[in-house]
Amino acid sequence: MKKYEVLEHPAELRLMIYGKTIEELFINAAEAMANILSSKFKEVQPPKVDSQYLEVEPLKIESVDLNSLLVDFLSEILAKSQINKCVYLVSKIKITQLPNYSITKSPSLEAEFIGYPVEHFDEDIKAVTYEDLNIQKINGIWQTILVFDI
Amino acid sequence: MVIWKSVFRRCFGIAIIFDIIKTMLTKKDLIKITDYLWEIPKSFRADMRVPARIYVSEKMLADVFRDKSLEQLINTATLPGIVKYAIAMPDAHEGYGFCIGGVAATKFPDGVISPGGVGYDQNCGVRLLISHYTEKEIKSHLEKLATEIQKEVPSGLGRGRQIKLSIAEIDKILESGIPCLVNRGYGEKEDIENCEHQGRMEMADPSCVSEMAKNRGRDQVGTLGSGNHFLEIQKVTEIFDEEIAKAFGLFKDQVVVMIHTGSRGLGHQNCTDYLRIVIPAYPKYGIKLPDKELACVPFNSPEGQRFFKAMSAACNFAWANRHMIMHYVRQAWKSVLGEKANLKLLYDVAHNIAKIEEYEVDGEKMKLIVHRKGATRAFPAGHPEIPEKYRGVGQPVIIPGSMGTASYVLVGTEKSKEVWYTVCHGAGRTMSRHAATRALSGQEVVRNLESRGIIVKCYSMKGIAEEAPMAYKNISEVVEVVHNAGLSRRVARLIPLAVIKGE
Repeated sequence: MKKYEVLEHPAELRLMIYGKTIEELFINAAEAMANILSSKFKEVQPPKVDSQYLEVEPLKIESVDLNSLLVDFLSEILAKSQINKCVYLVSKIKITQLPNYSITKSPSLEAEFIGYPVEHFDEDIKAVTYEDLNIQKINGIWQTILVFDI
Repeated sequence: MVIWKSVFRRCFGIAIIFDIIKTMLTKKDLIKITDYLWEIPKSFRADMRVPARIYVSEKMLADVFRDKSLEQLINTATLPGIVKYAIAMPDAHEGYGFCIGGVAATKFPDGVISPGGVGYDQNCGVRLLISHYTEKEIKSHLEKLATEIQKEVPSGLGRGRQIKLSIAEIDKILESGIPCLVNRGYGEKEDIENCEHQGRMEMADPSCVSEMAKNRGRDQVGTLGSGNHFLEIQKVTEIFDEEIAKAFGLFKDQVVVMIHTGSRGLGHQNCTDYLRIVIPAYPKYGIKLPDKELACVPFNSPEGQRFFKAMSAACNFAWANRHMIMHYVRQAWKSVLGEKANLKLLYDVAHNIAKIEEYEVDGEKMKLIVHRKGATRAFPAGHPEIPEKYRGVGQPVIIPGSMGTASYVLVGTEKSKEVWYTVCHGAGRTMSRHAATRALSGQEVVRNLESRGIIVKCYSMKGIAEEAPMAYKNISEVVEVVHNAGLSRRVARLIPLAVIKGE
């Protein structure tokens, strides 16, 4: 199964993100963003645990709905990336308050990351947008369009 | 909180239809008002509060049906407190919430303010510097000038500038904009006057900007960014109005420098932060919108006030960014051409901003919150908010073209009062970045530009391909619409001699 694919957009970067679970969809969305920020980050060895670049504090977020949770989650990672000059992959994630995977109840998440320092970003992602964002399960696969403002 | 909700409902008589039937829009739904103005009547969709208007020629009309810009314009017409029309300029293209090239004025102080109506790049804008040289006089120095400017002005996608400002220094910039930089010896007093709003929104409050946003901006003052942001050495190829060109200090074959960028990561984070505050506040104020990214709250609500103060601060940061880039360009200019060589600031205009301005609406004077998202303020002659030296002719309006194509200098007119003294901001995309990179390689685009004698300095070939001129509307056609519609008048046409791209 594809993790994500690039779609057309007249000015910005539009992706389709997939996942067997909602957690996997979040992980794949973060990986898509990391690849856009730096196509070569995987060639860099992640620093050791005591390095300043490794994000050791787990991220905790609560949002009004699942779509907002994805935007808030990626926005936090994006800001940390730009401040620390790192890209991040998710090493652990737990999404809670999702009775029956409802997309309308206020959900929250906790996540941990591995940080990869980069000398240079390939793309300047300005923001993660709500444009066309709609997390839904189609034929057993969780998916959503995701538009980055670039 | 409860009072706000009831006041808001009473003020606007909100009777929002929750299940909006999205009707397919076709050309027959547009009423032709003039050869350059079309209207979608309020009756087109039940939730529209005002008609939607687009300035475009019949020839260009097909472009706006290619993406979601008209649907987004109609959505903008649903904003609580919107006055007269939702407006799109001829460079309109799909954005999020508002279309890019969108204009909307809401009632002050009880209408809404919309972070979505400003956009992520708060106070993205453009400034034009004029030299006293002709192309012939400095042609042999152009390559060196472009190299030096590229060296002096980083994109900021790598390690940023060498100097990382403290949070206290960022706060000073957020609060005071350009004047504090001039006071520290960066630039001249005249640079303050020759900038929209004198480079400082007085409502700015750094305490309304998050630490995260400030941290994103610490090494970004004086950086260009990426995407369609650029720096060009240009020459004046055509003068359309000799008298006004003279007032602006422009002459044929003159070498000028254009800077196009915004508030960088600080502004982007600021918008993201406020969407996170504003969107959950909709129920509190009884706001229902067809698109989440329209994102608005009443101007006088606590959230609206904080957003306006934070956006004003980010606008000050953007002006400071363009000002410091100008400072570094001036340094490069002097290092190549000698200490006596100078670049004067003609003008600096914002094109992503919300401002309080006074207008006469149906015979009544009132203040409005004017949102310009990818649109340029264009005040006419005599307006008190433009520099005294331009007051006799009107505000200089700078319209950057896409990379490698022409740019224009226009002048504001009284007629543009019908669009809250606003015109277009550029060419407007017609092709996705992805499609552009598939159609042409960066090397091909560079070869094409170099074959036309244009010097190109860019670290990223992908960035060059994405910004290929064919991915944009024809800037001359866009400018022709605003000129023929009377929203502004052409003064001069500029073409690039050297392009310095961020990434």
